[in-house]
Amino acid sequence: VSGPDALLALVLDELLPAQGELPGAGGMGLAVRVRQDAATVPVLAVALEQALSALPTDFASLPASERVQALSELERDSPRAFVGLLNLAYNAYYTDARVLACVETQTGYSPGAPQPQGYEMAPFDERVLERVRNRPPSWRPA
Amino acid sequence: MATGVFAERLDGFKGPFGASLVCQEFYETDSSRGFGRGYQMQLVRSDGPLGTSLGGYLARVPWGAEHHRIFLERFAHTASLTVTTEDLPEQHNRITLDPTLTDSDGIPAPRVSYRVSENARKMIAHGLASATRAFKEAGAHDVVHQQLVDGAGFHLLGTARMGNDPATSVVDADCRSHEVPNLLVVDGSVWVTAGALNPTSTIQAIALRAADRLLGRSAPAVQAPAEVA
Repeated sequence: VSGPDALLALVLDELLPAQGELPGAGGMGLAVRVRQDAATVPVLAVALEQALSALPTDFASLPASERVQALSELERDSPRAFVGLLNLAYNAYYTDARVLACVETQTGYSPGAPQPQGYEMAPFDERVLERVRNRPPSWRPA
Repeated sequence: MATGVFAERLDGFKGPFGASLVCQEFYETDSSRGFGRGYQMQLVRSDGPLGTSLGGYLARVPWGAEHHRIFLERFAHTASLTVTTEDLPEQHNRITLDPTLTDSDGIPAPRVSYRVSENARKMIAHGLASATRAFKEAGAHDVVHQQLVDGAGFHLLGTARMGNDPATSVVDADCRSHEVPNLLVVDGSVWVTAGALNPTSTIQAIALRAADRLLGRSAPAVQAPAEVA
C-alpha cells in the first residue's frame, strides 16, 4: 500500500495481523474503509488523525517489535484516540466478507439473520423443567 | 451482568438475544437475604464476531499477535446473565428542570438526579453471586462481572407516581392528575417502583386499565392464563 493510507495500512497490520490465508487488515486494503467510516463520524475522524500523527515519523521503517512498542505507547498515552482507531479497525475487519467467511470456516458461524431458516434446538431432558412447571402462579388477582 | 466463559462451544450466536431463559427465583422479598424485594435474571446469548471483538460483556479482545487466538477462545464460548433489580423509590431520585441549561428554544433541559440505593446494591451483589454460581455449576472456567452496565438505564419509570395522596403522588389510581383536571398520564412514569423486569407489558396493562376507566367501564375480570405446555 502506498500513498496517504500507507501508514494506516501498516498500523492495521499490527492491530489485526495475518491469519491463515488472510493477510493482515492493512494488506486486505481496509485502510480505505477505515478512512471512509471515520469521515462519517467527526469524533472518530479526529481520533484517527490524532492517533496517526502521534506515531513516530519513522514508524514505517521500524522493525515489527518496535512498531508494536510504538502502538502500545500510543494506547497508554492517548487512550481516547487509540480506542477510536481500534473501533474503526475492528468494525472494518469484522464486517468484511472475507473475514466473516474465515470465521465461518473456523467456527461454523453463518453471518446473516437466523431467520427464516432458524436453528433446531437439540433434544434435552425436559424433566429439568418440572420444578418451574410446578410453581404456583407468580401473579395475584387485582 | 455476569458473563461466563466456557471451554465448550455454546454457539450463542444462534437464536434470540434475550429472554431465552428467565429466572425469577429471587424476585419476591425474602428477609433472610438482607434486602427488600428482589431481582430477575435473564440469560443473554453471546455476540457475533464484531460484538465479540469490541468486548460485548467482556473486555475488548486485545489487538496484536494474540488477537486471533483470544477471539477464537471467546467467540461462541460465552453466555451472560443480566441481574435486573427492583429499584425502590427514594425521594431524592427525581427529574427536575435544569435552572440554567436550555434547548435552542429556551426550554429548560431535564435534570436527572439519581443514585443507586444501598438496598439495590445488596440485590446486585446477591444477584451476581447467584449468576456466578449458576455459571460455575454449568462448567464456566471464568466468570466476569459488571456491577452496572454502561448505558443500560433505559427504562424511564416512576417520575409521576400513582397514589391516593397528592402530597406524595402525581396521579390517582385511574392515571388522572391530582392537580390538573382531565390530564391523564398513561405510561411507565406512574409506576410506584421500577419492578425488576422489562416494563412494556405492564405499561400496556396500565394503559388498557386507564382507557377502561376513562370510558367509564370496569376492566374485564382477570382470567387465569392457559397452562403453559
